[in-house]
Amino acid sequence: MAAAPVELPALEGERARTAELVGDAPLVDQTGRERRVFTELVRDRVVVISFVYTRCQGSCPGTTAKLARVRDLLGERFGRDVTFVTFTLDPERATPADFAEYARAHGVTHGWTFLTGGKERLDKLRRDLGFYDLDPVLDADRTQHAAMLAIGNEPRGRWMHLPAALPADAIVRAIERVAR
Amino acid sequence: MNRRDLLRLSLVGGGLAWTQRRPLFANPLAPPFDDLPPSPATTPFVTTLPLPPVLTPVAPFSAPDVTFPPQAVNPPTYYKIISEERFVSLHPELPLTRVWGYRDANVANWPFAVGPTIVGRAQHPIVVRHENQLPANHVGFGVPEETVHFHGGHVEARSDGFPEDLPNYDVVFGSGQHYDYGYALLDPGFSHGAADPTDRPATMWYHDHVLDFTAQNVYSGLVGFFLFEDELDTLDETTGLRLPSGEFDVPLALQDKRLDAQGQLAYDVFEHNGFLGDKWLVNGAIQPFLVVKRRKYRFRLLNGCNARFLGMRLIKQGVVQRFDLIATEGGLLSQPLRNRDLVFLSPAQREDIVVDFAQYPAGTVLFLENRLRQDDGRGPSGTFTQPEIQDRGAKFLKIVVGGDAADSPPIPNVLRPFAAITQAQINGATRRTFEFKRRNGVWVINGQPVDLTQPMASVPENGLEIWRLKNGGGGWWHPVHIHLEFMHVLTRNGQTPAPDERDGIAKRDVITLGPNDEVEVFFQFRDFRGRWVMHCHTLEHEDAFMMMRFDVV
Ligand SMILES: [Cu+2]
Repeated sequence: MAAAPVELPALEGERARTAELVGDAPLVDQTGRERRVFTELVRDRVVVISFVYTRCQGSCPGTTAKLARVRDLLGERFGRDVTFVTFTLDPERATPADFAEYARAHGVTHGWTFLTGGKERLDKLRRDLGFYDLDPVLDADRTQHAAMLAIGNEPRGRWMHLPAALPADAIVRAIERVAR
Repeated sequence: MNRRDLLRLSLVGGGLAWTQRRPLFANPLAPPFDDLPPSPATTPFVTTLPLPPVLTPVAPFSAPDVTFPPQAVNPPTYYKIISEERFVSLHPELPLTRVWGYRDANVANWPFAVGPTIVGRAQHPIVVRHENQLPANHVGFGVPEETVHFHGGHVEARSDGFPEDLPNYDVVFGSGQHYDYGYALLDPGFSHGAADPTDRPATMWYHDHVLDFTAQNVYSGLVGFFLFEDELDTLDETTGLRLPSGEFDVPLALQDKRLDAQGQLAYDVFEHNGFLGDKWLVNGAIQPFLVVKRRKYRFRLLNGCNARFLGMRLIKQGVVQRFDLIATEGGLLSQPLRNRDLVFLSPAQREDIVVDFAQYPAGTVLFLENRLRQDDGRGPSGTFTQPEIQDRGAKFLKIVVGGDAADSPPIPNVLRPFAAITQAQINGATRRTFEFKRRNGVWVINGQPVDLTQPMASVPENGLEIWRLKNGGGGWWHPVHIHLEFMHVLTRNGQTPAPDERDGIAKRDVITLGPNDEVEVFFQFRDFRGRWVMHCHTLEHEDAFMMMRFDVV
């Protein structure tokens, strides 16, 4: 992967911190394209972040299926006002092609980016965004990290976490609260 | 095991990039290991303890949404509180800090981080209009939307500060809007001809409770005290129980914060396990001092931290001092608990103590210190019955003994006796179990994530209820707060609870579930039907949906 050093955009306060945590070191999306994560996918957006792995039999299928229902409830707001970013919990094995198939299976056409890439980068991102467990045994079990969503309104510096098992309409209301 | 241990493990495992910019702390009293750098250093004990004034009345105004029950015969008193962004001094060596706070609408400039103290009198209704003047276009943690919880109050549901708007139930008010709260301050049971004057609070507080963002908004400063007075606890030491009053009755809001290099509040919006600060604030000042007279004082200690539990000791030259405990969240105890040496406060808990400074010569220096070890948002080290109390701690407040003053009489042996729950009541109660657990990295109650549009329990008004509250494990602590009524604690892990939470002596509105704890608490939800919540008062857990709705029907 060509990891050209990228300048982070000048932002202040909470926004600068989020820019630093999310970072712009590129990851690869389901089409095989390199994406600068903060600048292209988070900055100036309302975004719902999740972590899954495509071979997961635990909570991941439920989380992605729930997000697909949330997308449907959002209607035309999806892709325009709200986008989704899903990172892999399985960077050693997940390929862009895996995610392309996964995205097709969930009817993804637009507004939803699935990212894989370097293990160190994704591990750091997972922890920095709060998808970790203080118990190292649980933390090492990647099925533990797929049951949560982070919802952010980057221009407002507003972020929250919630369980993906909430009803889809409750998640939509949370997105609306964050988006205000 | 904490995040520091995680680091060690990850280093053993070859190292992870995410660890690199995080500093290491060798000192066990140093800040927790997390994403934020430590706060700038400040010289301790150079600023006096702030004492935010009591809220003053305004002329009566029209508050059409407030209705008081017919039993409220006294005319209401009206107040206005403005919530605003302001700049206050947390410490003289720091620039002014931007906070969000409440202020008395009669006072143009409120130089305190903590809001005005509301004083309510039994049977005397009050109306409080809260005006939201928070900046609508705020960028950063905190949302300029409010719902104000009267924590410890027994009030109508619409004035309790429910966290979320529901269809035809608008309780959240945004920037530029206001909301009128009505607090009848009648004795629980009044609507059934069974008003119970032994069920009265003492030290309460009010704070924001907006869904998902309570932690950020409370941390930003939306906090104030609410004190209760009646014919026993008169706030006048010449009458009633003659408890230390006036300047000798001092509320102490204990909070931890983190500051950036510019002295501004720092918070980690991605750390939902529980935020810990490394600056120790009392009433909004970092490590202040208080000069006391040689006489008795009542200190009302509030744990106003988001996630930090406190084990407060009073220390003189390294030696642990003794005091009397007279009240918990549930009001005055039936009898004082004498010669205590520790105030254990989970987030949102309150305890009132009486310290007799007449025993110390002028010039004596004492410190109010947190001796409890806690490394992360899971809670303190040890168990609820045996927490890890250390040999040194964080000094929140320096107390300097000054000159003599006329004293109040000794604390009487009887304060506010109340009847313990009887076996007949226990036998007649409906039993429910609620297990608080972490599953796949998210919080669940009885296995379910919580949706406030639906009640998890519907409780008949005035019925007898015993709730078994279980900690589902994983080493987490959960201080569970239940709205509307105080709880009578029947058992803890099958045993009779310690005196400071034992039915017949004390009542609580926050019950601490230490690791694997199980408590049984008794309630009678009286007088007010509607929607209420039970939640973990580790605010980051609450915001991550460790909260359920129950309806009184
Ligand atoms: Cu909790």
